[in-house]
Amino acid sequence: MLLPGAAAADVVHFVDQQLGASPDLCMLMVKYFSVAPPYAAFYSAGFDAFDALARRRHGAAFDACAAEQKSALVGPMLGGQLEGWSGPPLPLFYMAVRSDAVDVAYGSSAGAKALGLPTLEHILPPTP
Amino acid sequence: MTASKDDKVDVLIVGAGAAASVFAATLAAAGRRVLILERGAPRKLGDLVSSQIWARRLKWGAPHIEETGPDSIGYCFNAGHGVGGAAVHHYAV
Repeated sequence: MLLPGAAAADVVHFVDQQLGASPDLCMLMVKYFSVAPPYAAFYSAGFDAFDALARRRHGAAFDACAAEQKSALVGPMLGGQLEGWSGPPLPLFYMAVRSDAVDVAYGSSAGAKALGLPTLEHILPPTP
Repeated sequence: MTASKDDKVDVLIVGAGAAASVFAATLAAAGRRVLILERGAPRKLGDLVSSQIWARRLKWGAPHIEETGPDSIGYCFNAGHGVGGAAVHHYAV
């Protein structure tokens, strides 16, 4: 919801895989922000907070809410103001989650091309 | 080149960051025996992948730095690890 194209780019798999890695090797944005490990606790706290808000406002967990209800919950994240929020600092959570999505979806040659941006790669990533 | 513990050097440099590497090269060109100690990974040209997501490996894909003292902080960003140090953060991505 925070970034078009992120789901198709399988950002969920990237985050899940990185959470399973040693904190020393983890490349999630939360590490860049110097959040202390275990990093899964940061995500759990944020998603639990969304669930709590969704249940309070709509009587259902976040995933069970209608699209417009989800948007109404997620939309105010950028402004840092979400009444009843009990998770990590909201701007930090928004920045961490969205930044991972941005780099996974568009932080590569293919992603830049999808945005219509010219690229000039010097060194390509290894292929499986 | 690697050194053995019996080698004698004129200059010991800790950390193979950008400035240290230039310093070492200059001293070596002037005829000094120089040893650089770098705890991080060596870097090959192929490691500098032209990709924002792949670049994370070089930017914060290493143990975070924990300072000591009564008001210690931990940080990962641009702490510099491996040959090239923090300068690698700004390679041409």
